[in-house]
Amino acid sequence: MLYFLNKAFASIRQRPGACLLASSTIGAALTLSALFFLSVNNVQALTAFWSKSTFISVELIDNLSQKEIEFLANDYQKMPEIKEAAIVTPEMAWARFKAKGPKSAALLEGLEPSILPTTIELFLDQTYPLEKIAELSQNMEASNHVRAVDYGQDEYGQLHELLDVLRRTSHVLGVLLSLMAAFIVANTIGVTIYSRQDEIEVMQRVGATPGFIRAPFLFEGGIWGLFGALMTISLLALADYFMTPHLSKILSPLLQGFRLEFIDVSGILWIGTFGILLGLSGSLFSVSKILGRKV
Amino acid sequence: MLEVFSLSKTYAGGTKALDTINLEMRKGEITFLTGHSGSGKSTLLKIISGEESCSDGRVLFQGQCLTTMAARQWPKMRRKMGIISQDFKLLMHQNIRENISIPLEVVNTPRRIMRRRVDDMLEQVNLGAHAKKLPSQLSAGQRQRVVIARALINNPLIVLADEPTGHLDPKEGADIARLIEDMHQKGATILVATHDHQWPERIGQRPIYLHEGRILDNPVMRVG
Ligand SMILES: Nc1ncnc2c1ncn2[C@@H]1O[C@H](COP(=O)(O)OP(=O)(O)OP(=O)(O)O)[C@@H](O)[C@H]1O
Ligand SMILES: [Mg+2]
Repeated sequence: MLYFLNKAFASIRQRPGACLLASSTIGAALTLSALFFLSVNNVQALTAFWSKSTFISVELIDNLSQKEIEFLANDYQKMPEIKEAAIVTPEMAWARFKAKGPKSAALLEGLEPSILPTTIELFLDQTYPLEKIAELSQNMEASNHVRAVDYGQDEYGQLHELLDVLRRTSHVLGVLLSLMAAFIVANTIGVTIYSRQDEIEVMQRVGATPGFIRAPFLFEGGIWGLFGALMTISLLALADYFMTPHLSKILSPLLQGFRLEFIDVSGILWIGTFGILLGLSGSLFSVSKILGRKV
Repeated sequence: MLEVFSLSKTYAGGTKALDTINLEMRKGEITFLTGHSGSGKSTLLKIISGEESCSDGRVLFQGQCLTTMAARQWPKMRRKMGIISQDFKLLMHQNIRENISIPLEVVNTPRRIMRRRVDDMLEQVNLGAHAKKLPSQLSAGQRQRVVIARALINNPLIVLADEPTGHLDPKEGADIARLIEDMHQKGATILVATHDHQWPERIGQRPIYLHEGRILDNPVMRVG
């Protein structure tokens, strides 16, 4: 065991170029795949983020009496999913809108608060999937005191289809990308190991068993994979450090509090595992191909 | 110890390299194979060492049939053979000591014993001063001696030597020939392929003469 590991390290010391080539190929393949899966992940998280809500705004018809409004709010308050029902009068909405900034204030110039409707804002006790909220809203809309119910369905509806297409194509793309990465890695490792055919032949000549010949190559492949994974993780960490703040700033008005997901501990473990597996399987495949020929 | 029965070999391209060869060697014998270039000497040695397959016939080594033996048994069998090939097959990135150690590493020899054996062997082939050099830093004759040392380090039951004196100047060739004769004196069983007709005669041996893949029984029939 130690002997094989020693041999693997000795061989890496002898040919640092080959090691660098194999490692960086694995690294590049991993980085590509990781970036892809990160984007898919973020898109999915975004979909989930948009498809859940904790907030419903119920717009009432005009000319309801204070009592009727309070009665309705009380009704909502009693529903098990609703934590709090707050009445927002036209004056409150007016003040809120004005507080948004000078532009909004200018927009209201020459208008009266009474053009705004009274709304009841409902805060749910937890996040619910969109379907559940849609169901609640439908019940509310059935009341003739309610003009409209808003839970962000418009924004969601537009994006829904796009995200759905993205999600479906991502599986196909992901498989293609992984295959491509595996192919390139197998080829690079193949060339690297092929250049050491002489070594394999010498070992065969002096009576080494296939397992004995394979072992140091496997260790070496694993080490390449590990290096590749380390490169990938450092690259991603750098990207996270330098780019995520900018991205978040650019996207924040759109995302409304959504935090971009990046690699976490489990992601790092995945990258490490995949890297080592790529290195191992690549060198196993290449060595076996050479060993398979009768010498 | 080694018996070859009506062995034939036709290469994929259609070249008939060996044609019904029969041969027998006893323990401690030295046998010379001579013949023109392309007469099939290397092919015969390669079939015995399992590097090439044969088209027909059998090779028995210590009563075991090599030509029908399972592939996974070859590693063990090769440890009993010392192979000196025309293409040296030295590891260019490893020094002389490491190259000679490989057969011992394969059988998990303890480091201490390995060191001593390799030191002894380096002395025997007169390479003690070059242990740390790479093969590329040696002369052809020195490299040939490294190959011989690697073949002998495991005390093989039989040594298969393909042109051990070829491509060397006369002095170096004579040195190597003496080295191989010494091995024979010490009891090694050796099969040598060589162009050098004088070598077997010098030590009173009658060579086996190969011509176009056949053994010529009568030396008078030698061509050229
Ligand atoms: N791998 C191969 N594929 C096809 N033909 C081959 C192969 N190896 C050898 N031959 C042919 O087989 C014949 C015998 O070759 P071999 O190498 O055994 O000769 P040899 O006696 O060792 O010659 P030399 O003295 O030059 O080493 C030659 O005609 C050669 O061209
Ligand atoms: Mg030859």
